[in-house]
Amino acid sequence: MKFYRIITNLKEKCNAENAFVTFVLFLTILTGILYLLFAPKIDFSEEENRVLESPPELTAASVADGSFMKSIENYVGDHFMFRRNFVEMNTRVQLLMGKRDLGSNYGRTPAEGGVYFGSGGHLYEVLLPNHTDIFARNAAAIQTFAKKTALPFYFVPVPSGAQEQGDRLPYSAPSHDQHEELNAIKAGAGANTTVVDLFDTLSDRTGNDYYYKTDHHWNTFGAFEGYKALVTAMGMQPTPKDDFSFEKVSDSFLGTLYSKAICSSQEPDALYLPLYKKQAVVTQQTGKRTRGNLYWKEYLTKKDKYSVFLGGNHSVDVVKNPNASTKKKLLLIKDSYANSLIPFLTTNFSEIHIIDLRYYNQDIYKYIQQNGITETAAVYSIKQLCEVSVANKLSAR
Amino acid sequence: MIFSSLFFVFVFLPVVLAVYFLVPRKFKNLCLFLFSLLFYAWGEPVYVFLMLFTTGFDYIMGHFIEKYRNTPYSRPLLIFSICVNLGLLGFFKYSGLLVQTVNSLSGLALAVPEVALPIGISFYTFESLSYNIDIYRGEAPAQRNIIDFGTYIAFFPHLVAGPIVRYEYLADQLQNRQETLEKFTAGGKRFLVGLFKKILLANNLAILADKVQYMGNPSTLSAWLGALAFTFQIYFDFSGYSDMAIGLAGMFGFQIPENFNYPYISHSVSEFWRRWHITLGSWFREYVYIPLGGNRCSRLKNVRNLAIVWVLTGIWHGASWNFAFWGAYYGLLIICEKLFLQKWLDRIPRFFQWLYSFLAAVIGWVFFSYLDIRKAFGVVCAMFGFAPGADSLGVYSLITCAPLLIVAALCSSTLVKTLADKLRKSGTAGKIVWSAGFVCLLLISLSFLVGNAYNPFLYFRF
Repeated sequence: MKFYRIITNLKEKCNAENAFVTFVLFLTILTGILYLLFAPKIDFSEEENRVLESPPELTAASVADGSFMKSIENYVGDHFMFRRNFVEMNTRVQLLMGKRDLGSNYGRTPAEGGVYFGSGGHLYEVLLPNHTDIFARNAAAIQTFAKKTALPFYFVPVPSGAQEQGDRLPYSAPSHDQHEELNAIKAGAGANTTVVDLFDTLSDRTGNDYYYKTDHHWNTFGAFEGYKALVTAMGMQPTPKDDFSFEKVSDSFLGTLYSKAICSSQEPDALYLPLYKKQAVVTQQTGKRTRGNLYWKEYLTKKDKYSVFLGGNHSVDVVKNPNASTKKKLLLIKDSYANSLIPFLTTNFSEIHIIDLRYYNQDIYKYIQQNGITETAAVYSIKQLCEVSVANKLSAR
Repeated sequence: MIFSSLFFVFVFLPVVLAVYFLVPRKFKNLCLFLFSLLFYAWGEPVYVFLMLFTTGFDYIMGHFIEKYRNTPYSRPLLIFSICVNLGLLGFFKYSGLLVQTVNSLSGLALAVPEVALPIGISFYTFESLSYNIDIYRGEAPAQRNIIDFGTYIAFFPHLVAGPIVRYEYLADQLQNRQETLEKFTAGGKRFLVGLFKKILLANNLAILADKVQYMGNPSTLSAWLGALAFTFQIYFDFSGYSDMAIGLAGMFGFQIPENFNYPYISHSVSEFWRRWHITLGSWFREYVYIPLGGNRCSRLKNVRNLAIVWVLTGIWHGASWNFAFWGAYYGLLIICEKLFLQKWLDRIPRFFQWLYSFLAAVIGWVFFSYLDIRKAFGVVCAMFGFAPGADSLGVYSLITCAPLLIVAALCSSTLVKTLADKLRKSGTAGKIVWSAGFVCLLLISLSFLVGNAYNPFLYFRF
């Protein structure tokens, strides 16, 4: 009887469309809950190259500092039903709305500019003017580092794809000119410092594409140009390109920019490894482990294929090549741009000590003394210098 | 916790609804009260105790004010209650601004208190004030049941961003309300409308508005696009939030007042404020403007009253002088309208009346959105030609955001609503199209939430 009353009530009073859309809403909610509760979970999103949130742990501490709340909110988002489809759909909807950039967040510090959809399926990082002093402090700390060590120092600030291929950005897209940072670095350089200017070398106007379409790094050929310029600046003879064979090891590379703009119609990149044709026994020592090769091929089957170079970033790597053209020992502070340049550099240095300051917590000056370093260099993408502080890691001693 | 999040829609809301409809009648308010505390504590695990203190304090004060009504004690009691409530609001919201201002005026270097602003404090303080004042005036009886009173203050749909519901409005519903399928489904639809406004329009407009502000020194074109984007963003954000609040309240059988009524179709600034944040406007009218004498006094006093109300309205929106300036700007316009401007307006064509009102709002929002008043003046100057005509940001934004701005403009007029209503009434096919449209918008909204798109919360300063 009561049920009948509800039904008649529904017919008479309730607006049918309201009832329908509310029904759809709650059906969606119900499906979502059931999915969250019972569907098998994945721990890692290959697409986005990040670990998905694990089930939150309810403890007094995690509630008090709010991390429990944050974690459960992320958990719901990360394990949402049809997540992949929704993300893809979102990219398409935004492109349909007329947008040509995605994933910006100006509320964050430093602000995130997101990704531009350039011509020819090329994605680019959006370059923003600096609103923090991160760059200024990094640049100053690196210059001070050079002065303190008193060793020859070579600074290679690498411009981003958006800087070098401005003509391929969406029409009239605003893009910060990284010459500003280059000029600041040049202006602050001490007597023992040589700044290697790659802006013309890597430019689109050379007729070559030196950047990945779907990743923020330079490609293997861009890295070679960077190597050539660096070694020339050091007054040495760079190993000619012909001494390397370039092996295509993947044509399905979808990099970091793709992760921010997931779209199934995106054309992937090809990834090439440079192989030195002459006899060479190059070893890479990472922590206690030593490898007989710089290429960690296990990464080729994963999403993050760029990590095939040296296996990504570690606090310290030591690369040795007894057959190198010189017996010099180089200390290199760097970000991931250097990883694809180092294979070329091994032909010239018997030892390269690679330090990623983001993960390094020792006294770098002591390290230099203990290892008999003869020259120093920094390979950094300008964007990284603007966003991630490494200054405090150089202040020791 | 914000409404426009997956966690709220897919976890919190269904759990509250399930518990609410399962428990017997006499526990329903308790259920709402406890879940509201959880809702608040989610983002403010400490300040929930401040809200509980306010609730307990005003509950007790309400009793005393009623007990001693029409005796000489009632007035001091009310004044005490107002002082404590405003004192808390003042301490948590304005002490930093006050000390900074004293420092900069006097050259002193007093320590600036670093107090995080409890979310929603401006909203619930105004509600508890209305409770005590209504009792003092004899317009509502004091609430016997502290759970019912707590439910009024903490009720999560209107807790963090309004509407500001006067106690008198909700008093009866706290005990006598009926949850019906009609209210529930109308509420569900209303919630969705608010969700669409927030996620599809406001959040996307926010990107443009924030980008122009981030880049700085805009050209004339960029300045206009940024100002228009913020104009529509804040409307869809705030009215979307109110829609969600009204819809959610409806699901629990409550009816809470409307907060927005197409403000951008107004033909005068006075009309704009009758259509914008209606519950705040009526709170100030009821508890400040009329007690000061309203307009039933000399013209000079009337002007004074308007000036007081509008500067207060401004500073209510945030502890920064640009909000006071924004309030004063509206005060000035409204005083001018009262004194002479309305007579002039009546003589010009309707289109120009609208244009004046809309431009007044757009320029107002520039002062609202830039905390630095000098920067705001720079932007307004740029809008009126004191800057290069266009820059790459302006052209790019015009191309990539024109569709969004056009849709936003249409939705802020009554046109879209009228068309949708026509469609619903035009027979089965129309109903199906309307419903299908809703489902599509729901899916697209979910895609923005799952895609983790920009989802700012604007009311952390309020």
